[in-house]
Amino acid sequence: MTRRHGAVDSAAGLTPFGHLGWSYRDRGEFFSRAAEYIADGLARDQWVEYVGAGDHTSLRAELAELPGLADVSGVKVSAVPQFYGVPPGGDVVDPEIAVATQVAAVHEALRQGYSGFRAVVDATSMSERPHQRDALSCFEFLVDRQMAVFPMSALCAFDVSRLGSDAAALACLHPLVGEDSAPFQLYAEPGVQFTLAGEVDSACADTFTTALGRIWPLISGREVTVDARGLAYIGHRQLLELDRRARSDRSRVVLRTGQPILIRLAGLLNLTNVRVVAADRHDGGDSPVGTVAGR
Amino acid sequence: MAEDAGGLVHTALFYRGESEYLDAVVPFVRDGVDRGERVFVAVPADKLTLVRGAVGHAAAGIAFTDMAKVGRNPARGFPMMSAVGDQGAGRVRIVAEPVWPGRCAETYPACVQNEALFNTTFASWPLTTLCPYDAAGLDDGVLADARATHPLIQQNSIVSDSGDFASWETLARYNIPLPPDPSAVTFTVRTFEDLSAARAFVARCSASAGLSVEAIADLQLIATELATNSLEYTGGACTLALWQRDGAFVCQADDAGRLDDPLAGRRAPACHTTGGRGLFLVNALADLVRTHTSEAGTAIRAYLSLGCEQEALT
Repeated sequence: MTRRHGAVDSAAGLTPFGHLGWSYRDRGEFFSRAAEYIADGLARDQWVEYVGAGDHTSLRAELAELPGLADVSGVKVSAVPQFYGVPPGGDVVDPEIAVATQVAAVHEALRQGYSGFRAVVDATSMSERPHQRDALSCFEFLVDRQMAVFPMSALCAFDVSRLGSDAAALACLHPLVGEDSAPFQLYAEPGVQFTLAGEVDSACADTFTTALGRIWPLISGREVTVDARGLAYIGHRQLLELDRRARSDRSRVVLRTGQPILIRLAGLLNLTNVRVVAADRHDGGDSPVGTVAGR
Repeated sequence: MAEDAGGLVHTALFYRGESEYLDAVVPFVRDGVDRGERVFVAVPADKLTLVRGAVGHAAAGIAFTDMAKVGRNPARGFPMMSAVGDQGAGRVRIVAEPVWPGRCAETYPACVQNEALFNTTFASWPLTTLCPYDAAGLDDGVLADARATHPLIQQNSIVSDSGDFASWETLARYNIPLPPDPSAVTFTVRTFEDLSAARAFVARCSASAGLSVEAIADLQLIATELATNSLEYTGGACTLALWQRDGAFVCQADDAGRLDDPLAGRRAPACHTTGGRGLFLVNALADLVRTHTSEAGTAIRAYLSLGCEQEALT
């Protein structure tokens, strides 16, 4: 649990990198966050890309109108399909191709002397139908693994007015989320299959089940280690859901936590495929280095 | 005593002094050991010492437990009872002293309800239970309740039918209204989205009352489970009330629903099912859980002991 994680009320200051999922309610809110995120990237001499559903001209015009940015000439603009490597006419992300495209872009940025890569992406147009969301979720989970180790990051924005509650199951796949975007975060961390942080209860039961179901096939190995040291709360129904998921493919989950109540709860639930263990202070460190948790 | 009967034998022992206690309990447990039955003794610590010393070599075949600890929350007894009795390994013999002079008075209604529910819950189970009551130290009302919740009464070595056995009526009589304490602070949970704020409210209140980090986490889980249950089963709002009194920190949930299942939270949940665990967990974490239900609504009150003295039963 060494990456920044948690809910934030601004996209500013997430430097040098921070993978942020933001569900916005109006375009003005999105533009403000985009401007903050872009400003930090430009200030750190990163390759910055602005990605949206429009064509090159409309995106460039949008970019020029972002509040508080004096010079955006160095920002590249891309249409969403192009950014994800989706062939012309397509509107579903191929996760493997999209990740490869992103990683190639990072290498190119570094080759050109930039200190890293960051993008602002309004991914709503790739998220409007269930199979689009399934695919994009896989991409988010896979690319977050790269972001945990490469100098790259993105602000991924989702329009709640079009996606409704489905936006949360996409936003939660980021270590950083906008306030009210998702109550928990499921993201990558070196050394574990994934990290769970935030609060998981009946308010987000469907979101949790959906997100878990989408990323589960991407997890390899019979033993699934989950870093749950940043998990402030998880309800028993959601622990049972994790157990059911593990039982379904005969894998075993090891949930590492700093909370004695979670160990006690697991014992009371007689979980068969989830083992909750006390986190080792030397196993990645208990100190929430650089976290935004709790704000 | 119908010791060879197939189902439950539930006897209240009224004793006066150690001698009468041992004269009844020791032969009871020795007989169980001799018959090859599994024997459990759950009584207060002073009686444990007494019985263990008196049974001699037979003690090796008996599981002894301090009732003040395992029975602190009486509702936890049923899952434990299920665990020992549901193993298909023959008859089980139990000495269980549910109340004693000095036991917290606030716990008493839950103890009576437990004894009343025991009759129907385990009616067909191969259990022979002897529940000692200190007839010299407990008041007449307690002994009357024992007669109402036990089909058999043993006194002066004589076992007879209880003429006053009325377990359902007694269960209803101890369905006592639970008005929140006047000092309570409250938080209304209207939707699942309020649960996070409810936990923050619980953390603030319990931290200012000096609860440990572990106790605060317990209380947050208790409050979340109670409120979630209310929202799920009544569809209406739940009012959480918190207060501190007489050595306990209390969390009460009030809603507009009626709780029809008196065993809710008392039975161990079935494996691989997701429902029916909320109140079970509350009982597992809390030192005492009291319930009142009626057409007007349900109140569930969970106590976390702060380790201070509470009003004692006489």
